[in-house]
Amino acid sequence: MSSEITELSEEGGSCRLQTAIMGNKISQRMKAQSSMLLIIIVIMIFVGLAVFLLGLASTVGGNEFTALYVNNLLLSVMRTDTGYTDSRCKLVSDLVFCAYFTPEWQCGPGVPNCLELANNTISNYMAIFGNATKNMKYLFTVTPAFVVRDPSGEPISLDIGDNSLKKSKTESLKLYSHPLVISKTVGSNQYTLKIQLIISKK
Amino acid sequence: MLAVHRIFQMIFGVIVSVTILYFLITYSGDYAAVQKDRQRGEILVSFTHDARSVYVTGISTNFTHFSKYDFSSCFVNATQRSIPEIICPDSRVSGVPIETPVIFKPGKQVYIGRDSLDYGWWSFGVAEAIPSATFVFNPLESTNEGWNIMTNIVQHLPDTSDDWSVVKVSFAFCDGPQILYVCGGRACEKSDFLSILSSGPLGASFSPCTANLGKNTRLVTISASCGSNREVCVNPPNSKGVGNAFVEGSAKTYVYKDPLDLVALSVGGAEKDDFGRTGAEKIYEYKNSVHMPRLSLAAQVMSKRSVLIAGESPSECGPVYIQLAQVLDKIPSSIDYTSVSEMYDLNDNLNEAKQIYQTLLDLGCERVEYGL
Amino acid sequence: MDCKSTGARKGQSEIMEYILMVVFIVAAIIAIIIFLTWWNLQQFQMDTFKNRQDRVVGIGQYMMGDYMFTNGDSVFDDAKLTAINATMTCQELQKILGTNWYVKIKALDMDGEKPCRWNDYPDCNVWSICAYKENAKDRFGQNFPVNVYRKVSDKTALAVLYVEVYS
Repeated sequence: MSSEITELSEEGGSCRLQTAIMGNKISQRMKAQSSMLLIIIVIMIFVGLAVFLLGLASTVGGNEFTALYVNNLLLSVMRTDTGYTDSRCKLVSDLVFCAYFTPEWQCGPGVPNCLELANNTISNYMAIFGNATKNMKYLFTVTPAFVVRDPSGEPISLDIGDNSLKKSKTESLKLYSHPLVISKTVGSNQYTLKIQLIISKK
Repeated sequence: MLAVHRIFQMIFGVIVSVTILYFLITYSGDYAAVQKDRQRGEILVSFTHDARSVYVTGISTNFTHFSKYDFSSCFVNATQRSIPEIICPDSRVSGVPIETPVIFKPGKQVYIGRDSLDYGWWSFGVAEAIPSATFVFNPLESTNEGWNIMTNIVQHLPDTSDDWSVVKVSFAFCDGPQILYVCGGRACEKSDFLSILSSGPLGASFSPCTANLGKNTRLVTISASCGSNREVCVNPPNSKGVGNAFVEGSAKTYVYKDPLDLVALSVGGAEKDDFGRTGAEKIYEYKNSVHMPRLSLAAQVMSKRSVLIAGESPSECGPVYIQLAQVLDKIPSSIDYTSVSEMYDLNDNLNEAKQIYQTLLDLGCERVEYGL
Repeated sequence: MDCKSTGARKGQSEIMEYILMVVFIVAAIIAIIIFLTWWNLQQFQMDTFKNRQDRVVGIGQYMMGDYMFTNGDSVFDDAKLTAINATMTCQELQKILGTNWYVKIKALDMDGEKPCRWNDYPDCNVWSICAYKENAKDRFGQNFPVNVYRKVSDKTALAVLYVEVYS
């Protein structure tokens, strides 16, 4: 570049020199600009990569534990004895069956019907469990093996607990259990229900 | 003619480039080696998770990540003092703890399934992680005992007939120079082979197997006299269910008292490692190192439990619980699984305890199920 | 003279621009190396957390599945748990599950906490396996929902299994 300038100045004509100098300045500025642009692009790529990697860094390590927790909670509650000796009300799972198929059945004299008793018993056990560990919002959803739908197309289910958990999306940590399938023989018929538990921080 | 500053640019550029490249290559080399070791560690940890999951849930799975690197030297080693570990002598990554009892034979892909020994009052659960293999049986005498040995081994190996499984465990016979594929010209799945075995001895005896065995073939010879047999050879058991087994290339006598001992020997095979130990020996010793202490502890606990609840139980149950406690007390706290006489006594006591526990079930003193 | 000095200044500015580029690139490479090192440290810390949680889950799942403690499938047997406390030293269980852990099972069918020793059975609801270490460091514990089967009354109660590991 400097040799070109020397040649131009030797050839004479300040006008040509000035034009050449101006041209040089412009091309140098453009070279500098493109270099800066290149550097900025490279920096942006690295920053983007860092952000992406940082995004990955958010822990997903709790999955095995949380899955075990919510599935065990569902199973443990369903297996617990209620204290009632009537065969339709002995375990919590029996009570849930009774509440779904024969909600008006009474588990003993002076005792509330199955539906009310299921709600009270589960609420009581979840409160006891919550006091021992951590209080949480819960919802047990009970549906038959063959989905039955109401006129609006929604599956008919028995919900015990906080109904808002079914559709809400604002909870930061919401855990779903695998559906627990339970079959029982009532009279001469066999019935199958699917029970799912949803829990969330309070 | 180049300007001075151009020359300076070039020289400076070369120096900086070489310096940067040198550090980058050195760092990348170290980083890559660390990452490779890290990956090996991750794969082994992932395997322990899968094995534990199968052990707890009973839901089988395939583990295919071993294909990424060479894990052929790995085995599970039980120590006296602490949790067993997965040891890989050929690798820097070794000593991954695994508390789940697992019969493990390395391979590119392994099938992980659950199995158990049911004693009635207790059950010893174990996960089995086995690569694709064909178990070839060579019963030299056509006897019921020999057939029972084969049935016991096959019953305690996984059923890989599911479509989703890429690992296949299959079964065949060997007679002299020929391997007999008795399921439509192909090796049998577990259920088909068990059906064939259930019909009893075929009548004719087999000749010692001289067939060419492939890499994934495990030969099990059943004979009253195990001389210079190939792979694994099993003597029929005595009336107490205890017998001897031998492994090619090893002078040791392996005492077996339950089907899992035979599974451990068959799965392990006669191939030796750099230290001269066969796969069969390693798995057999590991299996008994985890099984026997747990059996002793479980017997002690169950004995104490029986005494504890005898007084709180209905009148017909109390004496039976005391009887169970007395039998279980005879099981020693430290069991020598290499002693034939100790294994006789052990099996005697275990059989008796099982019968007493069945009596408790029949009387309604113990529940059959505790679930929903 | 002017053109020569202008040329020299232009040459200098080109060199400066070149050096600036090199400095930026070297700085970017050093930044990447520092970032990767920091990243590995973060991963290591996460791994430590994951390892401890994994150990807690491992001990918990083992106990929930072993017939020495349970009647299968997370249903602990109160008589077996009481017998374990009466029979076993922690060392024997440590051969199976390693060291530096503590387990407490509490049945929720009773108010308060009544430790289960041989003479308290069956009117008790808490079983501790391996003593709780007061001065232990780096504790990490998790609760698991389980059941305890009451042998004498033939009833299943809701319970909590607490597993803790420490350094």
